[in-house]
Amino acid sequence: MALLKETDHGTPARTSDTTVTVEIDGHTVEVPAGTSVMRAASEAGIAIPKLCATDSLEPFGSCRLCLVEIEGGKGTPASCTTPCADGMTVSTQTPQLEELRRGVMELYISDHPLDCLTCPANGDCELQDMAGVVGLREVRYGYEGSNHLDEGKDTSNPYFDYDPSKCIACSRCVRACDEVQGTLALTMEGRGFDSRIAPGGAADFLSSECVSCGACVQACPTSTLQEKSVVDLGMPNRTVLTTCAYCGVGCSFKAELRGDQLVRMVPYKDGGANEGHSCVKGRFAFGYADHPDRVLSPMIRDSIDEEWREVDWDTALGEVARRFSAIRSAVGPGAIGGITSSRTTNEEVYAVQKMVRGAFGNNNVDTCARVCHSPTGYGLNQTFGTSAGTQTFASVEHSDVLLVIGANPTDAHPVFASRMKRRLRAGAKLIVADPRRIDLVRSPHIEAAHHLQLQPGTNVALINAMAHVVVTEGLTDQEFLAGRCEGVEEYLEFISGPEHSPEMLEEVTGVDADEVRAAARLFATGGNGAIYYGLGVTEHSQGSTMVMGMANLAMLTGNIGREGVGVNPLRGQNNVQGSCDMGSFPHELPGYRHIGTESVRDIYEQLWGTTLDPNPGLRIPNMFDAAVRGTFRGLFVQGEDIAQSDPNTRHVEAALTALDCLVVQDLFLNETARFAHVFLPGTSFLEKDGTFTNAERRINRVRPTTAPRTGKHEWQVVAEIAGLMGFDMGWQSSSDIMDEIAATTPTFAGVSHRYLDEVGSVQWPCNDAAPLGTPIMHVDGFARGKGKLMATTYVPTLERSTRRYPLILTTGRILSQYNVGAQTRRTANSSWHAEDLLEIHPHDAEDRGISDGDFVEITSRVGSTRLRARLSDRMPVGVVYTTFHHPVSGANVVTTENSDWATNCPEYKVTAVQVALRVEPEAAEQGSGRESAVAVAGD
Amino acid sequence: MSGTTTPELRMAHEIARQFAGRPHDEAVETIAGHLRKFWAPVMIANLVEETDRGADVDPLVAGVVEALR
Repeated sequence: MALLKETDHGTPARTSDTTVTVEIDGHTVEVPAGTSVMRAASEAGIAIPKLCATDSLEPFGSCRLCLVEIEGGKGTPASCTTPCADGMTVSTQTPQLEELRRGVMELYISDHPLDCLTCPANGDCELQDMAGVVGLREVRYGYEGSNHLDEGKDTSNPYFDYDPSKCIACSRCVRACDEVQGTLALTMEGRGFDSRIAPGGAADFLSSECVSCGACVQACPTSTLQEKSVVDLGMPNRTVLTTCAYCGVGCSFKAELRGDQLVRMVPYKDGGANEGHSCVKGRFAFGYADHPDRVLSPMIRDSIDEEWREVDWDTALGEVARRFSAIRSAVGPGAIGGITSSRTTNEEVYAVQKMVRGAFGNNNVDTCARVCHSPTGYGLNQTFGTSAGTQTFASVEHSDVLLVIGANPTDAHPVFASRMKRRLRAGAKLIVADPRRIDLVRSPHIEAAHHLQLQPGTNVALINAMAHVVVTEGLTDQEFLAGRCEGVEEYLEFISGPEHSPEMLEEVTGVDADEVRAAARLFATGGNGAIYYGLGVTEHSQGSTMVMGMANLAMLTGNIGREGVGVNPLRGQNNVQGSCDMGSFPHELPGYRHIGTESVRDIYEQLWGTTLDPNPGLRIPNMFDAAVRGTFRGLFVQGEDIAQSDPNTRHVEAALTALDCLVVQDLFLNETARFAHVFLPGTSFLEKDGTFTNAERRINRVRPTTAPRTGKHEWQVVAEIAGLMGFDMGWQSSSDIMDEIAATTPTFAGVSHRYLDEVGSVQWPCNDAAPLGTPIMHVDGFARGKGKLMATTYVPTLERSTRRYPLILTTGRILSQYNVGAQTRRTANSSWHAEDLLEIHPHDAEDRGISDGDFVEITSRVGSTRLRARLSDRMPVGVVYTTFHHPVSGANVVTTENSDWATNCPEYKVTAVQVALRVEPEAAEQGSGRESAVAVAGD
Repeated sequence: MSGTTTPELRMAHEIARQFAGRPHDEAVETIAGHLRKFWAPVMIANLVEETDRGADVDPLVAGVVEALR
């Protein structure tokens, strides 16, 4: 489409039970009470001139351009700050107003560079537009007096420039940072003529607390804050609406292009997940798609010791089919399998599982969600009956108490974190359960009521203690339990036992019992209580138990089935939810229906014209075990770097080496490709055509900005392999795949690309019963009928600190990087995080003679690696922490084979280690430090 | 259970730890049902085979193996 410019109504929409009617320039307008005159006029098609107003921000009333006359009123009030009153009569265009506006514009322009023709914002400048709108024809004041025209630029940020000479001091950037992003990094320094935007007290943007979300750039009406890409490439001239390929928030973006050249990604105001906001990754870190490291041609080799040979697609796909068919014939159908990716579209995931089931002839298909949120699927399915979060992101605006467990939203899910922070600034209470003092615990205008700084691995003990308090102190929602739940009596008896009391568990969790009691009381009695959680819940030996424990707490307190409540997984990757939905678990067909259910198998057997194996297939770790045994010989891996992301790499590498045929489909020659026989180039999200499903079950369209640079879509590649193996997938387009998904999966019955193009997005279930989708789950009843309370016995992990390994390592993410960094390390985001660091408490550091910045060696029973130390009291004594974005430094080298009992999700979050000062710093060059297994926390 | 073990034995014992506090028969039924639902038949066969070879298994896992035969 042509360049899409959304209407800016000037001030935010208001919701109210009452409406008011006003007359504006002779037009009668009815709006919710509280609506500004400016917005009411805009909704009636009357654009009042404005500069400091934009509808993502509260009105400010500083520019004096939006003045109006109100019958019976005095003066000329600003329409942005004036709410409509019933019966009000407003004039927006009078000779007096026109003269006032021209006078205001004259003053602005008298201190503004007159370089419109060479300005990067030429054609996209509100100051330029307003000069035209008000009919400015001359500037009487001249340009000789004091001005700001020679002020120097700040070009320190890798993605945008700050040119103060073009600033009109409207404060939109400052307010965007405050109100939208919630970082409060910008300020207006000085007064009057000396007013100047500044990044806090820092020397420049790069060294400031600015998180480069782009909200200020988006809000700027001039070229004061301008994307470098626009400066370099010029203004875009067309828009493709698509979806971000980073985290599970699933932000909608306008990909703005100049021809086929992507100029910038601008968050889409009508995007259901993000509503016009973004983070540094989605907004700016898209350069990896054009990185020279990308492989664009298929390659093959006979053995992994040989060099790669570029071949054409026919040769490569023929080789894949020949090798897999040979293994199937020689060893049996169970000897091959496939792994899907949470970075690919629903259609691509569906294609891989269909190829495995239809062409390979087994259920050996698994997804990388195995190593992140598989316990979510198990736990929520057991308790609620469906494997998904219960709310919309917008639901948090109705929450009164937020319980954040094992998640660090400001770094890992920043756009949702901004929503959270907005609600917290408005007065909601916050409980954080995390071994680390994450930013949310205390940040500008936000302070957690309770930070339950528990020992890693004791989540279940903590949630049981909270439930114990709720039950034994009579704080349960008895009506909800009686009407909506089952297993109530057994559970209440279980959790009432004294062994679950905060006092008894204090030594286990390390959390003061009084603090646990206070937090439990707050959650149970504070109004709408919502639980948000991340991998700090799931990546444990009791990950599934903990998910059920949180579901128990929500049911006990009646916090399910309406706005502002619920149990909400914050998914790590863009399509974790979708990859799970699409049947890429070895025991489930699409829609979480067990492969053993004959009536479900019948649907696919009739459509596909084949017989399906009724038994579960191998999960990823089971495939590795079988490969080492020699019974599993061929593997297709799409968009997942298992040699980096799965635990116990020594074991993984042994498995991959043992395969007769490993096929890797990816953007880059990743670590897994070192063991591959065929490499099939993959497509970036800018080339994909399909859908992603985010953490709130929202199905969003992913639209290509250009044809696949590799010449083929990934689903086409998979379909052709299946075809060469004798199984016709039967599709002509990605849309056909979604049609097949809808035809076979009840929760997707109403979904199609055409429908999504029409309505924007929907949250599943979307079918005849819910044609517009289902924003909130379990409203009148649970998906399984009644919610099931489950006994959640705390069983300590086998991974414990010892004299030899006295510290516990846990892992997390940082804002600027994403997972193993394959994408973000190929962008300027590395400006903020060039290496992984080991956070260690000053006391633990002092015991070991470690100073800030020293290289240290971290060792577990599995292996060791080296990285630089950062002294930090964010961690308690005895616990160390690192990120896992730079696999070259082997930051997660030490993780073990321990896993969640129910799902095999690796226990990345608890590893006993020792840390020692590395005395030969010259040997600690990155990349030389890994001595054994290297495992990188998944997701 | 011995320190070195096959993956299936290790996983079976990890699951058994979660249900150790339950009545024996209930725990056996629950765990066996879990394995039938989530484990590939070849994995169950491996577990049974390892047990038959005399692997060191705790009573709960032994009960599960019997239920799975």
